[in-house]
Amino acid sequence: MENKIILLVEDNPDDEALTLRALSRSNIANTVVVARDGVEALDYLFARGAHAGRDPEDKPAVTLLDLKLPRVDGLEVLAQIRSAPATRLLPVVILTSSREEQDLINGYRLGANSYIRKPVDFAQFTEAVRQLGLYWLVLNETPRDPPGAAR
Amino acid sequence: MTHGDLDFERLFRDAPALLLVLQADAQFTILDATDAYLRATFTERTRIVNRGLFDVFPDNPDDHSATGTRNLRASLQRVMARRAPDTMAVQKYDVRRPDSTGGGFEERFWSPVNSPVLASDGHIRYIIHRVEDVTDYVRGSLPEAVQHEPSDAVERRNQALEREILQRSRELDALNRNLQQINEALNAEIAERKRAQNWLSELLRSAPDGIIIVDREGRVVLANDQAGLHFGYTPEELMGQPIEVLVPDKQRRVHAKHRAGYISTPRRRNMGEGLELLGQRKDGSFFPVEISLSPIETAEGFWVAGIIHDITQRKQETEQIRRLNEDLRRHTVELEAANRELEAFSYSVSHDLRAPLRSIDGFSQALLEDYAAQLDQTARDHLARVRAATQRMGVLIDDLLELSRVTRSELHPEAIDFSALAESIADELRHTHPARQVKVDIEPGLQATGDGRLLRIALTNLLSNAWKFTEPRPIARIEVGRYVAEDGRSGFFVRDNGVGFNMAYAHKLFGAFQRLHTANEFPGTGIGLATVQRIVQRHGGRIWTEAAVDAGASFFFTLRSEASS
Repeated sequence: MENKIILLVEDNPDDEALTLRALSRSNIANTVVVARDGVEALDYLFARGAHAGRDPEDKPAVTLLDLKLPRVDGLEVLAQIRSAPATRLLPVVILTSSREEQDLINGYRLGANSYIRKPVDFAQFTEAVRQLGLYWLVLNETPRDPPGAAR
Repeated sequence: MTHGDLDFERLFRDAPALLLVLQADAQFTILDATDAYLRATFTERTRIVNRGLFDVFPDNPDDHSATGTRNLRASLQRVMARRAPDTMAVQKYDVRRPDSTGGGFEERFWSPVNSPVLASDGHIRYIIHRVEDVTDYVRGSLPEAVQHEPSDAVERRNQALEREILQRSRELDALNRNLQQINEALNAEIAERKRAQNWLSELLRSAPDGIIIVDREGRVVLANDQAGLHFGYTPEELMGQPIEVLVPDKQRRVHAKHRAGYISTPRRRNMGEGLELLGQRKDGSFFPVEISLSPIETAEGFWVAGIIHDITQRKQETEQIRRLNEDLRRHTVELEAANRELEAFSYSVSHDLRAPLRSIDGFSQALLEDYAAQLDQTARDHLARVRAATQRMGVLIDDLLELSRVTRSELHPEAIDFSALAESIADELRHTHPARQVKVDIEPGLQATGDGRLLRIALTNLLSNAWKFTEPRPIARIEVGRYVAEDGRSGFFVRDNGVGFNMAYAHKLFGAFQRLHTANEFPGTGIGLATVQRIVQRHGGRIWTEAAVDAGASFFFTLRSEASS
């Protein structure tokens, strides 16, 4: 498995630790970049702010996006990802505690590729993360050079 | 001299008039006559008293055209009928000469008047017959020259003139009759109008609305009782007062101006299209009135009739309705705010309350995995309990969220294939509990109208319960079917042959967190049936149950749009 980057946007350090643990227990050894709020996530993706100078072409294979975030929330992050040509085809998986209908609908309307609710049961959580990693890092094919990126 | 001293009999008999007093009976019996009458008719009192009039004075048998008795009788009958005097035309009514002077009839012309004498109770006591002997007058009207003509010519002329006078007299009589009839008709009409007027004024007086009529100068010419009551006056006190006394001081000048304007262009103004004004009572207090106006044309020009409603009560009611509406609006706003708060709370619960649980469960598991060697059996057992509790709380939160969602979410009713819905839920249950052997009988062709998502939640809860509580049964059976009540309303039922429950606790069944079994016996949060009931109620239906300990349970429920098969 080549070293595809996973961008984890998560403000809760416990959830961050548990997600990382679940990934490692599922033998997913990819680099995980953690952004702890919406601004940080967007800075990373667009290589600006703290992440200025980073090669913006080095895109994450998948972004795991929490919805409730400080400063800029998850849905706003998603909206900006989808409106920028460089990132509009980026796979984004919403990984959240919320099962509110409105969040689901808004998530998909803004172009989320998937919506996963974090289970309380850690065993179930680990299983969800394992399948997620398997699917997006191994099975899923993404366009190397998205047509929109050239514009 | 007092009346008692007057000799009325003497006075009557000596009266210089031809009077006859008759009994008001069929024969018109003669009671008395004046001496003058007796002389004029060649009779004596003793001969005529107590005899019938026409017995004493028959027609001249030699005069075949005599109509005297007939006319007199008719006149007397009119007096009887009308109880009013009757003046007759000049009559030729010959009188019998006394036998002492040769007998036979003597030609006479009379002008009679018949008058009733009424008793205090109105019935006729006597009739006074008064006549004037006009024979000389009739004779004397013959022209002077004629009197010198030869006697037979004079006689002929005389007869012709007599005939003419009689003819005229008869015409006059007829005319008189006619006038009398007209008079009677008029009297009747006047009486009728009086009755109508009485009736109208009674109506006006007792009308439940205040009625005031003012003249051109705005002075009260009529006020009824109710108008008086409204304003605290007697109707008499209001008569002649300027209408402005009933208007609050501050508005009097304006009112007078408006009134003058109205008089110059009077038109009907109905209740409701008019102004709402304040009336001022005699004691100075005010009350709201509604007034309708209509001009009345009278001999003195336009008057104005006003009908006055005291609208105090209506005002109060309107105010109350306004207040209630206000309250309702406020409550709605509060409710909406509460709803939004609840929504925010639910979101918060959904998101924030679950995150710590995940940490507790996740790190407990991490401990178990990473430090298994250092943990003894008791420590591992403790951690297992921590994990079980967190997971139970997770389920609890989820169930509560569902209950809240079921309450908040909008209804989207549609036609539902209820049998297929039950079938698919049963399939899910079989799939989740592959070890269980449950026989599920679902009546085919069940249709319902309702929100598909909510009905699925309700039916899932009911079937899961049935599934759960039939666990101890070697042969578990669940039935889903249509139920028809005696009143024709229909609904659905879910029946199982599970452990059932004591009906004494049935009322607790549908409350949130109410459980009839311990978590050791059967796991559960006690929210499922509360959710089902909420869904049924939101569909305008109701849910009830029949059960017995160890004899299974049946849940019946209706939806507003009943099932039909």
